[in-house]
Amino acid sequence: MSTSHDQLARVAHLLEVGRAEQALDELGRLPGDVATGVAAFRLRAAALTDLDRWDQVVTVARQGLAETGPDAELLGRLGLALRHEREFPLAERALLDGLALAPENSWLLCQYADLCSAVGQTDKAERLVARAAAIAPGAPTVFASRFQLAYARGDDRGAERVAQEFLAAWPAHPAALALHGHAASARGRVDAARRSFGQAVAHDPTDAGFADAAWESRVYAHPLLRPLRPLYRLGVLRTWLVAVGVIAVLNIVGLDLLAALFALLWVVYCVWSWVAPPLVRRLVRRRWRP
Amino acid sequence: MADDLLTPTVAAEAYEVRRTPWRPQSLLYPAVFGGPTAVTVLGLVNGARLGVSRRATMAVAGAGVAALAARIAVTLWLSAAGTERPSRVIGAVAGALAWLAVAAVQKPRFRAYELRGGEPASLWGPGLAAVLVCGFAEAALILAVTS
Repeated sequence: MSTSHDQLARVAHLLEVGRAEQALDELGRLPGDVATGVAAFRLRAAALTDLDRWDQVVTVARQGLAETGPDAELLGRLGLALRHEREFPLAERALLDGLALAPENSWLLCQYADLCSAVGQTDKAERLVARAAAIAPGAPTVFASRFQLAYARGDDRGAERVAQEFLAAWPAHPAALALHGHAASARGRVDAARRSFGQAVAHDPTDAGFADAAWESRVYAHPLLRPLRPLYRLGVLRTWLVAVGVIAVLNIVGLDLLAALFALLWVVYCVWSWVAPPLVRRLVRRRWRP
Repeated sequence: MADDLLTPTVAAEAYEVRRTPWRPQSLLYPAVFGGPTAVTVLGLVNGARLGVSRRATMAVAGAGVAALAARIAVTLWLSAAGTERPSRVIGAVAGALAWLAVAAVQKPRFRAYELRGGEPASLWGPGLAAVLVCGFAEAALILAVTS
């Protein structure tokens, strides 16, 4: 018994350090009775979640529920996976079944909040996150759900604030770093985004999503795109208003030649903003993945 | 603890998007180059694709009509004042104003679509078509009104 207990503990540790593939291998070597216990099903579903293999998470969670009876964590995994599989009503059913078993489970409440954010029911999501936050104020899942909620509302400033709070509370959490990177790039802070994504990858090198984001953030931090930083910081509309304003003022004052020159520069800048990013993306990709 | 929160609300609605929407933020480009009509037409099509509420659709249509009216009014006023008419710039500003309504109304809906794993459709073809067709139609209208 103690050896199987050790084996499960080892799998849990592998998951903690982000080695989901290895954890799955270990789970495959478990003896029959342990392999069909609820703990093994939970770990298997968690490992597959880390690997974003959602269809398999659904299968494993359903199998676990069928063989070991109702379990809040497995229902939560099932709900999470079904959300990724775009089976929203079924995901809700699973999460509500889980919450019926464990109404005070902040992780489940956050899963349900994320589902509500994804279908645009942001008011309900806010109430769910508030309830989860009352139970576990500093939990990473609560921060992540607050971020998703702010993002779903289109509130980029709010999302950035949540990301900063998350990072302050969990300075080495890969999800905190990645969300901080997302928020920074949404607000046009390309260097901060590159740093955060780079650290997220350093802390969790196996996550494909972090790696992609880190790669993309390196593109935008490239020296060739340095002239475009004001554009990313201000946003297209404000930059464009400034440009048009300058041209209009120069026209009104009567400096037509200067206005024409500025307009020409502006057109070049616009063309650069369209042509340069794909070009740099190709350059960076060649260097990174030869 | 009142548990109206833990009652199903997702099942009732259909969230499948029939046609892929454009990123509302990207509609600024056709707005600037094509004017209020172009962005309003694209905004209404995009609103249908995102499944926005009736009120949101009316807001986009209303803002479009108001921006077009404002463009005509400002152009008439400037030509009455005898100034050289920077017609293109006025059209671009009016388009950007109409776009503000589209972006404000459609951004949350698009964000939810993104959270569901959706990707935006390419705006190149439809955007260019809207700029050419609606832009020229609007220019003809302005010309007809001012001359």
